[in-house]
Amino acid sequence: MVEFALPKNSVVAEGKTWPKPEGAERLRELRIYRWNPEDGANPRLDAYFIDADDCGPMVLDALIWIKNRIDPTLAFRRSCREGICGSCSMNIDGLNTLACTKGMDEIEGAIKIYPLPHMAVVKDLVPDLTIFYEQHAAIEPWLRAGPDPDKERLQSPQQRAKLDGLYECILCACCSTACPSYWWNSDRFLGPAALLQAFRWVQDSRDEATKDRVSYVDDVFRLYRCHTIMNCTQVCPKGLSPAKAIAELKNMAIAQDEAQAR
Amino acid sequence: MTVATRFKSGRTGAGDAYVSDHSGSPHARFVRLTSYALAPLGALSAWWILGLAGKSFDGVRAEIGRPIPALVLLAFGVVGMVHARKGMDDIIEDYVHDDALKARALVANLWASRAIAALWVVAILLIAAPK
Amino acid sequence: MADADTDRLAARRPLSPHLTIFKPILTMMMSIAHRITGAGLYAGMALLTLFLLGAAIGGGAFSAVAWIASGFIGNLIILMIVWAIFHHLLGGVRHALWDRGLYMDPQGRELLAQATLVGGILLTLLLYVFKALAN
Repeated sequence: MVEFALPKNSVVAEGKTWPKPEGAERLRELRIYRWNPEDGANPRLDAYFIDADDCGPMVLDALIWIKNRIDPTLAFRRSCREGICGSCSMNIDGLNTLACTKGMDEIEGAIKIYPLPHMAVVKDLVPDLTIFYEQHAAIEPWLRAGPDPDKERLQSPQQRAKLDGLYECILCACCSTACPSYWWNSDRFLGPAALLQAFRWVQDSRDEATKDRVSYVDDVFRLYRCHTIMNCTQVCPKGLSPAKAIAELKNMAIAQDEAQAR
Repeated sequence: MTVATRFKSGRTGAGDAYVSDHSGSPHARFVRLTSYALAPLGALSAWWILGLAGKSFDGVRAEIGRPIPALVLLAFGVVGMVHARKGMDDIIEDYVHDDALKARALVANLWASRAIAALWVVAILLIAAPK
Repeated sequence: MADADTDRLAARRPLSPHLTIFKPILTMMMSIAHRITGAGLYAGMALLTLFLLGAAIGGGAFSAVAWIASGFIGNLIILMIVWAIFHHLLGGVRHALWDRGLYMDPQGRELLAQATLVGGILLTLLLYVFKALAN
């Protein structure tokens, strides 16, 4: 059976409250999930205070401020700080998003930060994304077409436009890890991110493997664990709609299935 | 799923998880088609189901003993239970991960839904069929 | 050495919190409500079948099942079934629209989720009003 509750070793304990920065006029409180693989203790929620006048406006700025000024052991992924690398995805104020594009002024009260939900935690805010990448690999995210042509494969502006809303995905995993169906069945369900990528290649006019791609996802677990809960689309920090891509994949799978039955 | 979960449904691998079973599409189509019928049937049935509330024995029989409510409720019960069975299959597949338990739950669901539909039909026929 | 150590560490990893920390956004709540009303209607149909069987057989059989549709409990059961029918029906309409790629923008999603919630309650109320007027 599905475990709706957390395993014993995962229950979050109350953590420590770190000292407030001295001389700060505007304080901002952050409560951050901490887990250290080396001390054998359960995860905990630590409280930090930052000097809002000395810190940039984004949640990522606050995390970096904490790491520099208060607690250098705090672990999180970050790179581009402008929403294009997809590294700093985490659960902020209850919703998965990128710390670098989430403004602290969008959140009232203490800012609660957890790792992406229902993932194995490597340390603090760093989840293990192995399965997520395996799912991406499974949809074969590359051009599948006949022998190399003599010149480039041409694509009309209209054909290219079909990739808008799909190619922008940065694989930050916000959508997949926001999906309850993915929480319960990530061993077999591809999840919104991989399915959006599957649809991106189905939509590509140069790709010749459409039938096989649709046939691969046409499975009660791989595709149909999606029940259009919509969390994926609600949280996507790039404003994409995995739910719409999945809806179209379902319609294609149903049409292909009907055609084969005839 | 736990921290030890592995992705079993890739392009290559052992076990049946890596083969597309193609059962999801007919399932989805069936749920959609039955729902088209159930939308009007459900709205109408709600009227007569509400009519059962607080009624005496004779009142109940009068409420659904006429041809139109009897026929609508008959159709609602049968189409509703095949639709409900598919929905319950989804719930079982979502939450029950043990293969043996899942197989048993799916069979139990099949027969429970059939039994409810059959008894529903029998009851309404006994009440409403012309003598 | 590294492999054994990594595996041992990996096995100890906690699962990050999920249901308890995720914001209860309306679209997700309506999805959960769709599932609960669906399962509830399954149980409701079983209860109604019992009730109708009692009404079909009559006598002691009817008095044994009369509680399903009369008294406080019975009226509550009927109310829940009627509401579940309408809520689940509107949830189905929402899914039918989303399956066609309609109303998937932020405003559309919110609108459909609100319409499911409010519409289900409103249709239930209307049915009760009309029923009272018809009697």
